[in-house]
Amino acid sequence: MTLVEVVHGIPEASRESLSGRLLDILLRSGKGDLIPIGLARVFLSLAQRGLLATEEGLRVLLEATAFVEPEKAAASLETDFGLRAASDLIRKMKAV
Amino acid sequence: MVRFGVEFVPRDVFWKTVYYAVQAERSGFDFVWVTDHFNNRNVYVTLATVALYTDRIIFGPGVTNPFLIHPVATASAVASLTEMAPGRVVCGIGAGDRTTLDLVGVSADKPLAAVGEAVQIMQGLFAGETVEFKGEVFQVLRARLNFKPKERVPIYIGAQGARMLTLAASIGDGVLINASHPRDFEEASAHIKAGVSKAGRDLSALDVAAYTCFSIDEDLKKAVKAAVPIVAVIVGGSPEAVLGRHGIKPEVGVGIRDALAKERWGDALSMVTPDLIDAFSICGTPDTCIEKINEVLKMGVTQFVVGSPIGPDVRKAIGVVSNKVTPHFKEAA
Repeated sequence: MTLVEVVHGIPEASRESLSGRLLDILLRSGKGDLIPIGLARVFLSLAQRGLLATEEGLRVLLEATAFVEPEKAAASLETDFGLRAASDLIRKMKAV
Repeated sequence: MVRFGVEFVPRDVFWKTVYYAVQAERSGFDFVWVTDHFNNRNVYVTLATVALYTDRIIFGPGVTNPFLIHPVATASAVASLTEMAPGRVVCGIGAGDRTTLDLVGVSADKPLAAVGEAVQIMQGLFAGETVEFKGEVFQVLRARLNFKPKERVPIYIGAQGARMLTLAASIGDGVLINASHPRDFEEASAHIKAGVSKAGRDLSALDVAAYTCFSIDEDLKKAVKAAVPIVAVIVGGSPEAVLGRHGIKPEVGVGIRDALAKERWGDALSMVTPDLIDAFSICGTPDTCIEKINEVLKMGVTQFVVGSPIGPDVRKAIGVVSNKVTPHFKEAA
């Protein structure tokens, strides 16, 4: 499954709280400098337009967390949101 | 109606500070102030990025100082920001943080003259003038910006002591009062009134900002814990007169200052008592914070700045302020 497919499968009702959870993981991470500059710019642009809980926003948040805290993100996706496919993908992205 | 600002210390990678600024804008805050210390991320790099990712919020250095950064350099940086965000740029300037200036061997002599002269030099440059200035601290032979600033930038002066407060009220567009307790604002108010009166100005033309040490959380213990390190630094740097106003003995300040100077953080933090927290921060649950803000606003404050640490979790704290605190004051107005 690709990231786009995984995100598309996330239920609408979970998106807002998932976005908040991924944001917390990102903002609390001490490894923020690992996020590529281009991705950071897209993240800020989406935040400015209030789009972090959309499919595009979640894709960017998942990608960013994969750079800084893949294990925390994967664990939360699986345990808190029951999103096994997303969790597996984050772990795979970490491995790459 | 009171306006709300928030202070950020750019000690994290740029996108985090900018994200918080974006969140503050979307949460209805009016101002973002970014601190200026050489050992953090650069204030103007941060503010330029804030300019790019925000649309409405007013922002500026809060505060820079004329000892480490010459006022012509500050004027150039701030005027450049007006090209990126017309009508949204302010400039906060004060005497600087003594601890940081000491690290680079910069002596902050004649702070009153330095700040007053810096403001005059910057005002001239913002107005597009060629500035020739001979003061006690600064001598400017012939300085002019090679571009026309988009507008006259409002200058806010960071102040705590009587003379700086009076100066701020007489020449500034705003005053950023470094305090968190109504007793300090009551004292400041008298000096501010003296300053505007001396300058023949109307008090209503001055934005009187409470630049507070603020910490909010639904869990009181967490809010207090986050405020402790900041309160330690404030107490360690406060003059005896300020401590005395709150019934705090000078040796308490000396003890904390010594511990901080020797980087004995555990000792310094252990000396921070509930009385010190109460005197030097606005800290607690949303209801407690509303009550304390109300007391501060009675002292003539027109802008309330939620300063460091903001809360144990900055994103959450900004959310709590915008959902539970600011509506209280907007609805009341």
